[in-house]
Amino acid sequence: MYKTRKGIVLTSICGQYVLVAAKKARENCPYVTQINETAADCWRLLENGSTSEALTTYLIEEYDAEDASLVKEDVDRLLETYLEEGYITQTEENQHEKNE
Amino acid sequence: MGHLMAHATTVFNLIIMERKIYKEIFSGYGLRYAFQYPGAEVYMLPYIKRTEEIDYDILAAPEYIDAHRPFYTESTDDRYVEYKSLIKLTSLALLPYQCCIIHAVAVRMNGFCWLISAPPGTGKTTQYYNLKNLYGEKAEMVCGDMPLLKTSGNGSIIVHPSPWNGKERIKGKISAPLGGILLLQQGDQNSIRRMDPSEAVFPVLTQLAVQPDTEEQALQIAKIAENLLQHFPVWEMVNKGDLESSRLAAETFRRYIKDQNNDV
Repeated sequence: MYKTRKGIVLTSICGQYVLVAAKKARENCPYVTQINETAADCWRLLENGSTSEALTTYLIEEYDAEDASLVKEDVDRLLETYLEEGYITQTEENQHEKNE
Repeated sequence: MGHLMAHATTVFNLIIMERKIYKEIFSGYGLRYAFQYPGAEVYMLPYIKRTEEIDYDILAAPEYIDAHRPFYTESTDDRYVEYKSLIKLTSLALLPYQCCIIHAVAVRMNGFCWLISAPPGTGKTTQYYNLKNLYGEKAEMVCGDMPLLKTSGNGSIIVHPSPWNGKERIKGKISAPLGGILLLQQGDQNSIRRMDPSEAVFPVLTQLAVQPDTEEQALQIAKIAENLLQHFPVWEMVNKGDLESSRLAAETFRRYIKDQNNDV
């Protein structure tokens, strides 16, 4: 399970989605990052905790995507980026699955 | 023991009373400052004035000032570090009023203020000196480094001078309504183009001299950026830093105002 870190706000400025990190969150991630609409959709789901599979299913349905494996790849890449940048954290449940 | 306690209380009250309070006098918000290091207020003159009030809005804690120390050399005066550390505190205090500080050189021409914004060392101040060279009194400094943007109810913005006016310490004393923003880049040729607001989100947002402590502040900052980008033009200028580049900028501003007047 992945979840957004506390203290990060998703907002829209002139139609552009932006993640803005408040003070505590900035210890782990950049102050501002611009993201696209798909990444913003994923972010909203991650605010309540989500998995790679759930995000993939959502995006396939939402965007009528045909190639499920491609969507899964994109989702995994997005999650990896969010993790590296410090925007999300991984709970033990997901880590346990990864270790198996 | 009672006598000692009374003495301690008197000394404590004297310490509080000794702290002089200064009020900001340009923007109309009248933020009141107290200082940890006596003498730090000198760096903020003439934008603050001594007041008899005893309450203050802003006082940087010693640990907050110390957190800024690494950005300066060891020999930098504590008072100077405190003065610089107040930029963010001031911006945060003004956020609820849709007001904040932006990192830009602010120049008044044709009745409006033009914000020349870019990372340090890109040539913002050079552009001001060029404009001064070319247009004399028609180009006036509002603020050399960190002007204060004050939003009114209808979305218009007035640009005010602030105590933070750059290493050249060019102290502007005038305010003006915002005309637009020029994002500067260095290059081999001079060119200028109007940006779509959506393109300018990141550069404008990161030039606001404030980073939020809370999520609510983050949303307030985003709202200020949205207002800026929705109501004011942003140009990107690649420039050689020569007089021709400044002439190009000035002509762009002049043409914009003319077009606006024609539209009315």
